[in-house]
Amino acid sequence: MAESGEPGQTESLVAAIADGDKAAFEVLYRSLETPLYRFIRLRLNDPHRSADIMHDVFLEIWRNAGSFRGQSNARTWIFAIAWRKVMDAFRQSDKVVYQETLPEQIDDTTDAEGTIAAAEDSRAVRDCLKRLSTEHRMAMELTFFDEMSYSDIAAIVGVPEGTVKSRVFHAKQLMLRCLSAKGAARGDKT
Amino acid sequence: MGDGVPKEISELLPFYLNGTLDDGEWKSVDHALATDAGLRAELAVLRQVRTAVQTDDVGRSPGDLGLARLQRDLAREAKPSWKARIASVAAAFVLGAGLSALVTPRFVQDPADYIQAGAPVTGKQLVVAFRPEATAQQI
Repeated sequence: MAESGEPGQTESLVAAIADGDKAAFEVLYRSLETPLYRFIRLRLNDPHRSADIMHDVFLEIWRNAGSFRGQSNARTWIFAIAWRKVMDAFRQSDKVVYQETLPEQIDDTTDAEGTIAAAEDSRAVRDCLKRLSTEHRMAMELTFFDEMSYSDIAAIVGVPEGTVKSRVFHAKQLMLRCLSAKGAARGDKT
Repeated sequence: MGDGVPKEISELLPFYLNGTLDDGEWKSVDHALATDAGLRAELAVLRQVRTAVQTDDVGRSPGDLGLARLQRDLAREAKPSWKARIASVAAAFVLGAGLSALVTPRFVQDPADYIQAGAPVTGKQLVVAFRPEATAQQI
């Protein structure tokens, strides 16, 4: 049984799970439970439903580990399962599935000094993060919490790599604009 | 901030920070950072954003309770190993062969089309064997 955390270890765990190794399953659960739960929770904003979906994701890993062929890395395969289940939950609840709505060009004029000053205040950064749409927040989350490449993110959410780069770029620009406004507001007070 | 930098470089900046770019992309962004103060300021802000994302609490995950629930459900569905799966395929083959052996003679018109079990064997033979450790259930 392998420990998770090093490159290729998730693949080893999935291979062991395919052979019915429950200890490997427990190791995988403990290593991926937190990021998977965050991933689901940030989209659904419902703790109980998020827990249920995560449960279903792990059951699917257990049942289908043998079908993992290594087309992507195992972590990407697992997050893609979670993504599909979240999308199914959206469809069942008749919620509107996200459509890209940002215009191609957004006003990205920002004041560097004010933005940097605001960014040093963690409360200001968190407040700006909360103002992002779910999709833009998710883009930030996958990039900075899960530290995934744009190609892995594209494989998970099923969109072209260019769309991922564009989405992360827009999220970044929105954060810069929000922090710039906070910096400017701060400057006005002093 | 970073206004003079091509959009393609600016798009790669978050992935430069999380260390997932390939060598060529990494060098492009690194070169742009060396020459553009605005892009460096953008990177400094992104570092703060990354810290905020990584330390933001979105609520507690199910933890041990979630694992216990999974283990309970796994116990309900016994997962056959690959050995058992191979054994089941072999068993299905043997069953199929046995059934055809039982049924086929009834439709044979010419005695020359079948051979008695005690008759000497000529031509090719198909032998199906099981591993000694295979259980009756697997077979």
